[in-house]
Amino acid sequence: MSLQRSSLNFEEVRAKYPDFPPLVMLKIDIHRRGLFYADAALAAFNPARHQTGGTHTFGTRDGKLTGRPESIYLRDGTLVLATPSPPEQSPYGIDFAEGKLVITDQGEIVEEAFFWDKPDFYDKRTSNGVLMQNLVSARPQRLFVIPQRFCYFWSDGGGCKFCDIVNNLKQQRAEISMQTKINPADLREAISEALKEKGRYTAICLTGGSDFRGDDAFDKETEYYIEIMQAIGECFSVKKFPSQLICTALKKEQLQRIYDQTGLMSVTMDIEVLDEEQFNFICPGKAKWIGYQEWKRRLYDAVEVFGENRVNTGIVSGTELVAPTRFKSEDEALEIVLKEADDLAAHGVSTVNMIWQPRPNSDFAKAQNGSLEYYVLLAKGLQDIRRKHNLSIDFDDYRRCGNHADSDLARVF
Amino acid sequence: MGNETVKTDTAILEQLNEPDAIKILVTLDEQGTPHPTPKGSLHWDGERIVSWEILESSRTNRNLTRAIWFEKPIAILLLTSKKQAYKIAAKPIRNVVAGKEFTRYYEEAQQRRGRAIAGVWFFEPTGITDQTPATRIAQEQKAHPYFVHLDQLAAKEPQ
Ligand code: SF4
Repeated sequence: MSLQRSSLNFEEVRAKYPDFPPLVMLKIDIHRRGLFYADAALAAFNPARHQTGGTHTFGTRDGKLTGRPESIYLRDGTLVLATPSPPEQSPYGIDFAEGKLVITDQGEIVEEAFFWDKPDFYDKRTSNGVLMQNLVSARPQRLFVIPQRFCYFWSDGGGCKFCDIVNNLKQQRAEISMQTKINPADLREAISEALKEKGRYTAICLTGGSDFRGDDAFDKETEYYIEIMQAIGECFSVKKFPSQLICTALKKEQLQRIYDQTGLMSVTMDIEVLDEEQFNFICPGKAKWIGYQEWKRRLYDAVEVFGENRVNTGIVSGTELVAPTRFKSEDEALEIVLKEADDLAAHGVSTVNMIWQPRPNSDFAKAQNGSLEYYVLLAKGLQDIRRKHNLSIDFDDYRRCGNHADSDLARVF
Repeated sequence: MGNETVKTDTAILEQLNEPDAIKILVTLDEQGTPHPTPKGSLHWDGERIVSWEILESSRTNRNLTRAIWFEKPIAILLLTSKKQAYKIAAKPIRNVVAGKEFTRYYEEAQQRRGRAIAGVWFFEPTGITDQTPATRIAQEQKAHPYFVHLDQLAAKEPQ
């Protein structure tokens, strides 16, 4: 039996949910359907002025890494974080018409769009000759550091089924000389250089693959993040600075070490799927090394270390609908996912959702993501839960991150 | 009747740029309650009305975001140094929070006010109404000659 999905299109969902911001709804739909750049848009794209993609954690939806815009943003400042999809998947178009960059659907202009401006540091090199954009990448207002691009769950046959991190790394190594691990001294130089650009960045985010090595599991990961965060900290005049670490669910002692020894202000430990059975199926490495219930418990511990409004978890929403799912319908999945998110929120942990974008170099390459209505209700549900529990999501909002439609909604509350 | 609204009048919009002008930005909150706030940065750049937002978490910034999302109107009360008053109705058309365009305003704000800004709002004027008391009184007296106290019209008795 196939899973029951909503079949409403954009205009129908917009009419059904008039209180949901249409620009955020458009972002959701672009994230789920993807986008492609028309020739006129590529002609308007200037790599000397605009940011080119290729350096991020995960690969693109059409498998091509470089030579295209990183992404776009909308007239309200909403970020769209989508990579090009093959045209046969009927993605939204990014075109150039009427003297401006526009978003099209079936050839009709639906919105204006803007390319991201290229960071000033991108083409510079460290004194060791490393290209700075390979050490630090950028979103319009965030610096993004991926100190460790290899995930050890892959060496153990436990990579998450939606993830392509290691395959992406292989491609990055071949095409843009990407390093697997970065040298803290190089990173310090790159961050210092990035901070010279006035008004550009409001936060630093670190993430990378899981590393279970060490005397205690994940000690290696913990130590490396401390080393990296300390190098970054040398670029600041204050002890704590707006920063987010997206890491494995580390133990409380490990988190305490990171908190005490670095400038880190917030932590995200992505559970990926808010259902134990689906989590075990989709994230076998996380299930084996930590487990669903323990993951949740460690999130609660993290609140004790970092404080309220400083801890969250991410879900790759839509993967819970992939067969063999235990859910019969999107409605059922939504109910369970929001119930779990409510439980986390009652313990001070916020949930943010990443709309799953199937990538060709992942196990779930051919699977279908959720309907627009599903994602709209999920985004609304997650933000409503935050309001109910009086949780703020400042550190992972439309600007500090930009990848979560639900935290985009927090802009008006 | 009486209180005429013009779509745009560049001569009036340019008065937003006068150093002594007082500018009050009025936005609507979630319940529709008007929220007025002084907004010295409001100016006319020749094409759009522009303002800087210093506090990212301010009620005004949230209301403006709601306005751009749901096409809610905003209003500006402009009081000029010549004691003229205008209501400028407008709609937000863009919020710039990143990129080179943002950097330009960010640096300008730091130079002029010594403050970092969180964002820049662009507005399109949709209607301008003269709210100057003398003008309004004349307009309303003409439009509603019955709305008057008769003692104001009584013949003066000889001294
Ligand atoms: S933990 Fe899962 S999602 Fe994260 S990098 Fe490893 S395989 Fe990918």
